[in-house]
Amino acid sequence: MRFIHTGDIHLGATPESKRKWAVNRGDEIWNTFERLIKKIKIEPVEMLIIAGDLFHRQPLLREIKEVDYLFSTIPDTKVVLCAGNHDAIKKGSFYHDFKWSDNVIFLGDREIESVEIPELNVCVHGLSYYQTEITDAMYDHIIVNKPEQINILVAHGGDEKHIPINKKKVAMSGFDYVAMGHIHKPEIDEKYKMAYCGSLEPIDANDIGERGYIYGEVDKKGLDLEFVLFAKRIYKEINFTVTPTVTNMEIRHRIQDILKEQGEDNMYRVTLNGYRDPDFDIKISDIEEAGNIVSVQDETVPDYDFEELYEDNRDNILGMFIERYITSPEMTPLQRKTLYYGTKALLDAMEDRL
Amino acid sequence: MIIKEIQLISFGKFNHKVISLQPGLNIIYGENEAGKTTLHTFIRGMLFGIEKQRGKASARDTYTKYEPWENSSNYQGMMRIENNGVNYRIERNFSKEHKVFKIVNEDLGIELSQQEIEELFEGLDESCYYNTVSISQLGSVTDKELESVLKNYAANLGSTKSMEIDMKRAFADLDEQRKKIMAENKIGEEELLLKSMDSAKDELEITEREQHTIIASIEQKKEIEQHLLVRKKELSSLDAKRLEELAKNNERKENLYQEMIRLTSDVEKYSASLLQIQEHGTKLKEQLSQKGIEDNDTMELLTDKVLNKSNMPIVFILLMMACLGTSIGFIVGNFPLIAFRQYWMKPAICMGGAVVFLILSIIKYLFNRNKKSKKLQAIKELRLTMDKLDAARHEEVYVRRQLDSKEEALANAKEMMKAEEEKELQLEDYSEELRQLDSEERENSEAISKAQWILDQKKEKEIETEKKIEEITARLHKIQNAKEEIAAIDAAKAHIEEIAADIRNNFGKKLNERASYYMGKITGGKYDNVSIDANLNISINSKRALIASHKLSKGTVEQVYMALRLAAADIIFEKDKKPILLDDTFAMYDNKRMGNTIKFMAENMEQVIIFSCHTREKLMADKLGLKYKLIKL
Repeated sequence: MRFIHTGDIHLGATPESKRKWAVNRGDEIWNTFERLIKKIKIEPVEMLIIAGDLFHRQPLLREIKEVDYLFSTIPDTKVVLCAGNHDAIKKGSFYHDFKWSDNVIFLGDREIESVEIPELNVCVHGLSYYQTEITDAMYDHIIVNKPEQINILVAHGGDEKHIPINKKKVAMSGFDYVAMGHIHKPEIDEKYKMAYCGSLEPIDANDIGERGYIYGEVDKKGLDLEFVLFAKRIYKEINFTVTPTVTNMEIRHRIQDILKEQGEDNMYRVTLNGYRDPDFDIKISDIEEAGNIVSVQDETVPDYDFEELYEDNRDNILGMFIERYITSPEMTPLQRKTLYYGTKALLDAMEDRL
Repeated sequence: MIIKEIQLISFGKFNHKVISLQPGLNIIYGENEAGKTTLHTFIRGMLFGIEKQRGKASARDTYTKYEPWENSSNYQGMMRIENNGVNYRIERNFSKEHKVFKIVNEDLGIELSQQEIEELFEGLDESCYYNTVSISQLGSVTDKELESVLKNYAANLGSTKSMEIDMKRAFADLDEQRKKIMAENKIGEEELLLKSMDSAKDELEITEREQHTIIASIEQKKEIEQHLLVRKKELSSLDAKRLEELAKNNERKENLYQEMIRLTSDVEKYSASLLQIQEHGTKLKEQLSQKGIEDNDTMELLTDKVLNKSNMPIVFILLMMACLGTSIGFIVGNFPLIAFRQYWMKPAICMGGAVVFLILSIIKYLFNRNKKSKKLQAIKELRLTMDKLDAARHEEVYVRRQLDSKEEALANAKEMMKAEEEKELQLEDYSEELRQLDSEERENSEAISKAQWILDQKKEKEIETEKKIEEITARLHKIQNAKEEIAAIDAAKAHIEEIAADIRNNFGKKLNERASYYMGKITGGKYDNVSIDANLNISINSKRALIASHKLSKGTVEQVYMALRLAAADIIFEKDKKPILLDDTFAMYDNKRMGNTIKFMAENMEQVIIFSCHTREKLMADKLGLKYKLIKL
């Protein structure tokens, strides 16, 4: 049986919406989901699994209607989904009594529910979140009643507060595949026949790396999994090393070159490091204009040689000031900053005198 | 460091004046105007130079004051010093046109580099010189001023150690950074942001509550919907039964109706024929009554009368019989028959008579019969009429009976119809209720849709508010980061202040110790505890009480002042003692203390140079048997 396993689509999320280049990011997330359905229409699979968090939050009625419409356009594909921690079925949720299209199997129970799909000889198992956090290991002790069928567990969670998962225990239930959601980074575990599909589109700046879905084929003989890159944009990290002679414009231009090389559609988290001229102010807002830049972290260090400064100023305030920091085994970020500010002020004051 | 020789080539009133000094006590004596201050200024000038100031100030500045009246290019001098056993020569030309400054190592005959000069002076700069080794009398300053001089003096000494870092400048730099960060990150808006955060959160809670209310009402309505559906189902099935009943009833009614129509027409028909029959009967009756027959009896009587009048002509038959009998008698008596012929006359006549009578009677009979038959005919006709009347009467009875029965049946049918209708009315009618249920359901489901629509709106509002909160959070985050920077700046400031205080304290402690030591020596042990507290208040701890500086005598204050300077010089020039220059310092001292001081200094200081316009110091030194060099100006 061919299937596509996705999840953590987070429809309704609008990451980076304050950035000029990302005002339509929310729509992009919808569009990618639509694109996936269209792809299934062209290259059909028997089953589409959505392992929770289809929505970023409680879906609006019209949103569920849109999604169900999309499902109705692939009537030959069984769509199996459950609610995750983000779109947990709370009171008044439109999930409650929504009438899904015929090809949709909504695993909407609080407890593990098993639904047989005789025409595929498949039995899917799963549950839905009714609250944001579940600390019980709901997936660890499931009993598969008909081992002759292809048994698939649709699981959402895997951390302490969201249904902790003991892979070994889950595997012991004898599933032919465990389709997992919640962790946004794709990860295939062939040994235990499990996989996190990752988010279809990255949802926040911490979702660094490639994103897409898992295409798989499963029968009683075996399991074949393949990660397929599908996201329109992905988050990437850039580490840029500053030198004491660099200028703001130079930093911007060189970062723009890197963006061109790595794909201008992608979204970047920039970290500046290295030594800067102590009197040079890095203009973060300028660098942010260089392209799809999510954040600029300035970890540069003023180009001071504190050891030398200390040696030269042992018996004056500067030396005494520096001493406390360079003798402490590890500086906290605050201490480091304090050192820079104090040193700069004292040095400036000394220079003034000369 | 010891000053061995000073040579004023041309300085103020002096020209080519050479003064040798020795280690230990030197007393330079001169009356007023002799040039003590000039000498003092010269030494300072040799060490630090004398710069001409610009503009108006230059008219009365030191440079101008000591500029030689002639040949200002000779505005120069030389000073020999010894430091750690090495001899140095300081050469200076103060003239602004021919400025020269060099220090020569006389032992090696080489000029010192800038760095070597700095090393030689070991942090002795002009301000330091004023604050330590050069001690003049405070004399003219008032108590208050003196105290503040002391305070300033201690503060300057304390906060910067040997190296002067402009603390104000450093703090201003940090403050400027702080201000910049505050402005760039709009830290001032934090409170506003927190407030709007609070209100956004309140808004969120309100929408959530509103949603809960709406959800509850939707659920309630859905329950109602369920009830309505159940009730509707019940009623529908009841209504279906009713309709079935009704259908049957209608069929019965239809039947009855049909029958009623039939019966009605029967009744009409019978009524009509009854009328006809009655008319007919009346006509017949009229006919009969014309014939005088009123009733059956008269008819019977009439018939009987006709019937009883025999149509036989009895007379003629009797006569015929008689004739026949006679003839028979004749025959029978004359018998045989053959004889008859013979005898036929007699019988024949009889016979003939009989035949005549027979014919007569036949004629008569025929005539009678005709007459009777006519009568009978009439009777017969009457009887027929009577019969008809009879029949008509019978028919009337029959028809009447039929009519009655039909009418009865009709009445029955009507009765039944009424019963059916009543029955129909009795059947419960649910349609009204159903209609009402329908409209209730419609209203309810409309209300549900509306509530769901509102719920969606609320949810959208919630999303909006959440976004707002996110935005505020991001800005607060930025502020938080900026606050970290500010915390770092504040920490740096605090740390620098702390170090300054540390230095001050440290210095203060040492200063207290050393000053106490010197004070003890000067006062012969009366005061041996000078203290400068954190606020730089100077006080003396006598054996009886702590005395603040402003309560001390002027002389004692002068002594404290000296003790502090000596102490400061001790601390700053730990390794290499500097010469101590005392400029009329003892003016306010009593002899005892002056003696103590001079003795102590002569025995303990590397070099002391006392400038004085009095001979007290010399006399005291003589009295105490101290070795000294006297220079008379």
